[in-house]
Amino acid sequence: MKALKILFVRELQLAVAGGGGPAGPAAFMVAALALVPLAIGPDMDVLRVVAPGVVVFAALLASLQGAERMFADDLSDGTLELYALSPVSLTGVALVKAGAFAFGVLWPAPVIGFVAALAYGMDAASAGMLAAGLLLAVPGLALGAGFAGTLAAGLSRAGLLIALIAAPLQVPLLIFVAGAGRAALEGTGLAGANLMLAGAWSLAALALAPFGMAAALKARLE
Amino acid sequence: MSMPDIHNHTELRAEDLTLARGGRVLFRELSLTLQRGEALVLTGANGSGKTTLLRAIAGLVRPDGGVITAPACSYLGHADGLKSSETVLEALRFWAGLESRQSESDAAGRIEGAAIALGVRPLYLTRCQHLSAGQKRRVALARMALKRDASLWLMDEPAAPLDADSKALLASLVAGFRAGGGMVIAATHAELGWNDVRRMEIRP
Repeated sequence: MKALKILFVRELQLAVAGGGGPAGPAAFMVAALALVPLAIGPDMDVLRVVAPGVVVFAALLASLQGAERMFADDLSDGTLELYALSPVSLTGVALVKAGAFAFGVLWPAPVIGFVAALAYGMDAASAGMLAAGLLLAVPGLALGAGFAGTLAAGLSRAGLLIALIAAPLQVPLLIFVAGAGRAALEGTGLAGANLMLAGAWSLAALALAPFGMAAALKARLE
Repeated sequence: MSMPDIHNHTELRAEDLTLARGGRVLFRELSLTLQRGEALVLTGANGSGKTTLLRAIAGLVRPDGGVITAPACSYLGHADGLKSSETVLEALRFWAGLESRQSESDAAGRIEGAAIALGVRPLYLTRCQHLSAGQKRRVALARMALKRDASLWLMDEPAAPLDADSKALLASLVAGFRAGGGMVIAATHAELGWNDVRRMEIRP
């Protein structure tokens, strides 16, 4: 447990200081959300209706920004070998790195999502529901990006592979989080159920993804 | 530096080892043993399998045939395993803390010992991105040396970027470790200047 904690503190520091921290994905998300109204026009009724989907979509794409470097750097600079020989299991390493990615890099997504939803004309309660959905989705996004990152680490076409692997993994989060926002907007009463399903997907990823990531890392090291 | 407590360690024993890399067999039925206090220098052409042999002994790759019985080892790969945004002291503290179940003061003592032995103490507050290749190597060697309870050091090209003074520091570090019962295997093309070593050339 002590080793896991030490590893988490280091990975968090590296994610914030070494990898540029949340700035890259946050800037990507803000840019995407600023461009959408230019593309589809200033009609507030249209913008309000598309807001939940567009906000979640931007957050999902932004979460892939750091996925490529998440494990590729460790593989090329020899850190991954040393982690594999350390007292922490590769499953633990995978979990810790995804956690550091969530806490160090992805945390602004719900905040940006909330502000963007208000700017697109959603009421505060619906925007809050959407932000809550994004918050529940962050662990799932980090683990999905991490899973794709482990499979693609060290490959020459890592970016392509990550997009192809992570996109299907993110589909449930896209549907349920956007569904929560839309249900809140339309007052159908299904927002809570959508939120729970988004949280369930994150929990399922938490229970399964670290093992898959560890297997991928092991194959990468052999 | 203080020597690791050497207890209940066996010697290193590898029997009938066959290793392949990328579908190509590097060597077949290689056997080697190493007793406490011994050092082995592996030589051989590029691609002959020195690194793969070290990785197999460390437990990073599974041999395609044969058995390896190795004591607890500390591994220095060809990459230094340093992060550009970390300072030298942060890196050493992290590895000492990760490996050790002991108190912080014990870890601090081990860091100090390894850093002094390799002359990296003046670099403590330097970020790794500002180190030269030789300085990075010395920090990586210090990281390898401070691991507790390791009785076998595995080094892949430990001295390639080192200057003469640093090579002498490494030689005396290795001599001290062997005097305490430690075993050392180094794969190298460079002349290391270590006393009383066995040599083995790896050939297909």
